[in-house]
Amino acid sequence: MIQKLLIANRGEIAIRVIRAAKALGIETLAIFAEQDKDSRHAKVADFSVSLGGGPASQNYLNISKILEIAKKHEVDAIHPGYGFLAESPEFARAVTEEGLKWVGPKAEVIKALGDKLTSREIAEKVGVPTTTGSKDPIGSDDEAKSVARDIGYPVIIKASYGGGGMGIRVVHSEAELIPAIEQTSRQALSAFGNAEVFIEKFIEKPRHIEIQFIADSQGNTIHLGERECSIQRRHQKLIEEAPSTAITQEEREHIGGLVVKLAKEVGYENAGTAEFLYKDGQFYFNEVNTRIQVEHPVTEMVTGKDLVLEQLKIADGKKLSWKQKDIEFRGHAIEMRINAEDPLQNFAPTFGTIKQLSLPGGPGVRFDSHIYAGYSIPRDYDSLLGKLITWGEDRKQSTARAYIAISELAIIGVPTNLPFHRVAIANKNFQQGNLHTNFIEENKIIPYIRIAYNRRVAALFATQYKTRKVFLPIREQSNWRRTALREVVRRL
Amino acid sequence: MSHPGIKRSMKAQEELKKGKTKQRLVKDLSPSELEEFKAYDIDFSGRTSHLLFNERTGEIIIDDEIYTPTVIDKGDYFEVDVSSHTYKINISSGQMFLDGRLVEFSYVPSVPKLKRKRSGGGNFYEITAPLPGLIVGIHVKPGDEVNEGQKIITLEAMKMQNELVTERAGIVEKIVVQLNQQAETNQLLAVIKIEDT
Repeated sequence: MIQKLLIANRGEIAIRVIRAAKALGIETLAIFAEQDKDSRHAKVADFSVSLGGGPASQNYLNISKILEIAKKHEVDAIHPGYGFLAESPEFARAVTEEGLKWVGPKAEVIKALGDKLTSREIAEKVGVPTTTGSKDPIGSDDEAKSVARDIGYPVIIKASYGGGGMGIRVVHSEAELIPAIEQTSRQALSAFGNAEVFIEKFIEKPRHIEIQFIADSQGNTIHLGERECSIQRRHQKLIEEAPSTAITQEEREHIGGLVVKLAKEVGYENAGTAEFLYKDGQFYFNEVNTRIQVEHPVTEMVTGKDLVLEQLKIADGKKLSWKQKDIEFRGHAIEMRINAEDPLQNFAPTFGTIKQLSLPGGPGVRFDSHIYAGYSIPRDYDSLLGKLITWGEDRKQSTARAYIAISELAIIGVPTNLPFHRVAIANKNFQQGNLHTNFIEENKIIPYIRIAYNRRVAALFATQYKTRKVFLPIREQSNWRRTALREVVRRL
Repeated sequence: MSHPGIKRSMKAQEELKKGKTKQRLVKDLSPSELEEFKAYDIDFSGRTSHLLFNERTGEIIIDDEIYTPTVIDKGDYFEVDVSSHTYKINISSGQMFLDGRLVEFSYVPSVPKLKRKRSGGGNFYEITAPLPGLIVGIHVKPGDEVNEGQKIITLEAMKMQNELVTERAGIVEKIVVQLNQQAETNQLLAVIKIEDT
């Protein structure tokens, strides 16, 4: 039985894991980088230990330091969350060699599925549909040209070890092919330490559909249906939902069954996600994420199952709590990722202190987050501030709740992507479920955000000017601003 | 039935997509009309921006588009119409709610940024361009003695003439721009050597 769990992560996912562990009566140990000591994950755990300052390589990515803390504080299991070391076979191996329980699949499985060509080979072996593409990394220019010609343009060049939307390039004609391969290869070498690239058919404007699955150490494996994550910007997901408006029950059972076969083939243990592109009734395998995902709550909301709790039980050697027949979708759920990014400034990351926070609530509303009023957003990490998830009996109700909840949520002091969600959720094509990965560009979401924002500025300015009330900004003021404010007050 | 907020936003988004959104633009204004506008810096829940406001007509220019809100005092709240959209603004106990959402909003008249810099043996004030514009007036030359509040440079920006003044008395050390030159935001324009006190 796991007595004490170390959570090798930060922010909202660390809190999510801590909550699940507490529900099982497991003691929790949080770790934090110095610049992150005010993050709530370091406060809600039973114990928390500093990893020191510096870049992530010296703390959240520092395997030996984390294991040292684990030994010193006598933990018996480690949950990696997502990102950081979650998909590092080296970390998984080091944890188990230390005699600790690892909440995730075995190191060999992470490694095999982490290589895109190997994982595609495994997928093809069990009959999971893939896009046509090169079987091996591209060797010569001639080979590249003949492969691309066989597949048919447009094609996509992918780095074998790429991820997170990096190391991908679309090529529309043979003239662009060789320079694109060279660029991708160069980028892959510097970003992932491996220059291997391969070629696949490019699917234009697909949906992004992924299948959640979970397996125990005895080989019991089930799937928990799909999530649709088509609302993306530069391959970064912004809105996710389940069920997808495009997938029928037959398709769900069929593709879910194939994913279960894939998981069994590699001896998968714990939670994972198989990602697909989907167009015109066809699935195209993309990759397997060997960890819990950011968007796991939408599956939890529609199935009523606690995935992170189950992860801990599985790592403890317990048998899977559910059979396939226990998994049924009820209603519809949406997740909106709340990021410290300004959609009016090309989604540039924003920083600063959250001065006021007003949270939504009510039936079917869930907010997984580590922020609070007074929290300073550190510059060192990704921009995710939290996830606002709503559930409804059907999509109409969940989107209405999403719209009301996102309109109620107020994060004051730092620009966020809240206006993006308010506009996207109310968009006609979103409401009708006409989604694809080019949704944001094709629906003029950003230009509309700007107009709606300017209208509000005009309304607020006119009202304040009329009432002649000067609301002093709470933020720190520079001298010249203070002078100017005094000036205004004096004139009034 | 969709949620009314969703319906309203959906309709407006469709209108924009079909190019039906008609907004008056700055270019529809005459130069004399433009002269009536004053620049303001805005802070809306932590996001900063600028606008131009004509107090006589109530017109507001943002991103080269003209908005003319009408504000009706309903007692408990204000009803504001802007470009066929209606907002409810509620101000109570120092907090402001826009359609039920907590917001923070403040404005100040734009004033030139003055930077103080320490170098060598004395203190210097650097006068920089607060926003991109054209240098249309240089009112002093190096060696001139200047008083606090004295006009140094006139910058035409956002179709307005901005007088850039020094907040400290001293000697003009150098002018680093010429008449009719285009200046970028934060570009150094002039340096004033501050008198020892």
